[in-house]
Amino acid sequence: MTDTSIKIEKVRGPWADVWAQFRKHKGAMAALVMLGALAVVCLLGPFVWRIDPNFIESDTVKMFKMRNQGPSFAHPLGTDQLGRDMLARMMFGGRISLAVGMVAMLVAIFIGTTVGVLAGYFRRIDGLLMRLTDLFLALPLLPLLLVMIFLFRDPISGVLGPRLGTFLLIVMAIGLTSWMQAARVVRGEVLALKEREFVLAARSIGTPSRRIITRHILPNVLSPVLVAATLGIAAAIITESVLSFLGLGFPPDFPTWGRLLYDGIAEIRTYPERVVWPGLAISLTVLSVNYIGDGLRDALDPRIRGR
Amino acid sequence: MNFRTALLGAAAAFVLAPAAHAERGADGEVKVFYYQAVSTLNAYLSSGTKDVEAGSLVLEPLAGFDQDGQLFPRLAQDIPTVENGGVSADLTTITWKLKEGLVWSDGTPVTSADVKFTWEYCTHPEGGCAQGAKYEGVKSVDTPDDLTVVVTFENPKPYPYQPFTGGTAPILQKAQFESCIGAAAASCTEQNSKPIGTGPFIVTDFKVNDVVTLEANPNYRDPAKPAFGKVTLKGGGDALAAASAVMETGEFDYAWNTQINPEQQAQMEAGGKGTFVNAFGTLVERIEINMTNPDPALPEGERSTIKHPHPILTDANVRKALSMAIDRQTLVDVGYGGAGRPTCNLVPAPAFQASDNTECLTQDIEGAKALLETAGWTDTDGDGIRDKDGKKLALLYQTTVNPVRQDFQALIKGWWNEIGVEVELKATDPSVFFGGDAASPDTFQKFYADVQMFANNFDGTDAEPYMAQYLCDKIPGPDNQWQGENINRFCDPAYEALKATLSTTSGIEARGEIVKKLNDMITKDTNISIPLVDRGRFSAKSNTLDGFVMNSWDTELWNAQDWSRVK
Repeated sequence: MTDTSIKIEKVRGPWADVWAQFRKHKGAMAALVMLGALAVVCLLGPFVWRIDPNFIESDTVKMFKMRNQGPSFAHPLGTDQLGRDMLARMMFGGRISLAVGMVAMLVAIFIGTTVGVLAGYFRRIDGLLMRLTDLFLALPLLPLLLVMIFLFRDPISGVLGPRLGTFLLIVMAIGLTSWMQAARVVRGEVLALKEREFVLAARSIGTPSRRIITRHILPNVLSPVLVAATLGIAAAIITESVLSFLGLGFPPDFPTWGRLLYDGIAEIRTYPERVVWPGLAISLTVLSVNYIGDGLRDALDPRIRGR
Repeated sequence: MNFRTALLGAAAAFVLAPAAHAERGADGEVKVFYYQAVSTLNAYLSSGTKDVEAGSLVLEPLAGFDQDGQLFPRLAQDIPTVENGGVSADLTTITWKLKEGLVWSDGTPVTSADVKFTWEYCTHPEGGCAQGAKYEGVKSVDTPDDLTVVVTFENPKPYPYQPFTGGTAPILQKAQFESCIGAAAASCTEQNSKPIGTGPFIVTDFKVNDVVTLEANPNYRDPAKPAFGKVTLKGGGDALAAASAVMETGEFDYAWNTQINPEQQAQMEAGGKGTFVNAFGTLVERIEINMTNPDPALPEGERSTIKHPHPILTDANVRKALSMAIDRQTLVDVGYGGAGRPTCNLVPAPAFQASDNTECLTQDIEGAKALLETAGWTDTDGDGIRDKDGKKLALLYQTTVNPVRQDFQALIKGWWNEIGVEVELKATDPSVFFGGDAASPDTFQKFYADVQMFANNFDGTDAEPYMAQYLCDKIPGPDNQWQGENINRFCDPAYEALKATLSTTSGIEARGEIVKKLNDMITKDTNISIPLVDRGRFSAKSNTLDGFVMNSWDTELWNAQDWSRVK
């Protein structure tokens, strides 16, 4: 018996290969689903669950009854010490924390990749840029962040309003202080790449540096950049939590996961779930992001692919 | 001397035999928990309350304050007043008489030379005395005889009871501390950790920042006291652990400063091993109103200065409405429980100078709305926020980072939103907020916000320096490096005049009446300052400890000589 039908494999682009490989990584897939679920709940949840995260019952008798409730149908995650709905606060906080993570990561990756590629490709500015990177690495991060926020919060808030202003400031501050690892990784990769045959070939036919970088170098450093990027999200979410925890992040009526955690600490003995929810959300996000990074690294490495 | 005391003690024990706890040291050991550990017993070398209080078991002042804030004699025979001739008619001298037959714990007599030495010790220019304020304005201390001390002031002092009173100004033994004066003060470890005193206990062992053990003073002036033969004063942990050690495990008899949240308070009291004790002093959590414009658009150096009056808050009706909208009892229930009570006064105690102002205690949202409506603040554009002449009723409300204060901010924001006021919140790190750094924009003196919330109090029972904070010349600004206590930028000639009267009035009652009026001018008449919660001292005591009386005017161990074990 022979099979008469001939299977023609569809032509697949490189990204489809990556995706096929990525799907084989069970941990990464689970993490992707988890992160996706978290993001969807945070983004779309408030349209379904329409309780204002800052709503406090103005009738004090009712307010006292609503305080510190455990999980119920009316409040699936319970209420906090002022009777505010924890689910609504968690979703609102998640939006902020995830947005800070993504945007700060983009800033960090943009700076890191630029510095890394320039340093790796142009020997003349390599020393200068790498010493700059070392300088940033040597700076104590938290004090630097505190000083930046201290100096620029008022001017930026004055122009953009306190919320958008703080958001931009925190995102920029985190981005500007966490690009160094990416820069180092990228530089190392570029140093190796630029001696490879295809780059030499491109150079030999007179391709200008700009085009070599965009056509040949950048696509090939994508893999470490993507991995660094995912890890950067995790770091940014944690840094934002730290800042909120210290009271230097957003205004106090602006719940983020870090602030919810901070508020919960005071009542950890009586209501441990108040700490558990935001703590769990931060941990799950960071863990998911790390797993996705792991899966991406495997999927983007052609030597592992297809094994 | 020892023999005589012992005989006296025995006699007293015999006479009072039917009454319990009449014998010195009969009740064994009492265990006290100060979660901030004690580092010295010399109150002059530490501004820490814990050190002052621990030291008060050993060292005593001439007079102390009782639970009502009234002076009572300790080493002195009585309290000098103008009436009994102890205070001169021109209010420049006060004459203290020591009790007869007083001895130090080493058996030597207490004399006026010790008192004079104490003043010299604390006012020595190289000494760095932590309680220098107690001796401010003292010109000289004279000792006409062994039992008489005459304190002369540079200017007439209507309140002459600052020096040598309260746990922060105890008498040191001249013989012991003679070599420790000036720059040598801090290096006298032996003296500072084992001072010789007149109090009910003497130190037997002192482990810095850990444990102090004391035993009954064999030469204490009352032969039947103290009932406890031994005191262990343990440090370490936090307020929660301290409360638990008394209320739940029963390991300790008394724990100092157990400020925990109301729910934990209820939980611990259910344990049944102890009770929380509170006493209300002068610490008031309040909202201060900025009478000047903090608009960031103004040039630096003009923001929040008297050059630019506040566009909204100079309207007295707005300030009154803000106060009316607040439910103070709810704030207490959420934030402090037994450790607080609602108040409308900046000077809530002691009774002789506390105004009977209780108008603000009932929340009146509708009244606040009506008041704003009649004052011309209406919502013309339908966005839920009132406005008038193009000015929106929007406020920036700042405080320090502190879970209770953030809850207060959220609650008060809700109430203010309800009366049509837009509120933006801000929280600053407390070390920056209270740091007083003239370069920082976030200090409470700079007040780059419309309203701000914090707590403040005054030392002792005399409110005069406190009321003086609201004088026009105390307004902070760029020309005085933002140092000044009048952070509201309040300035009222009538207030100035009344304060001047206070400075020349003597007699506790008469002064109290003036303080009441000054208090009302700032609070209910103008609402420059909106008092919220009177925060008390809050400690835990075991049910087996008898005779403990909480005191917010002196050290909490003020009557340790009267403590005993419940039998």
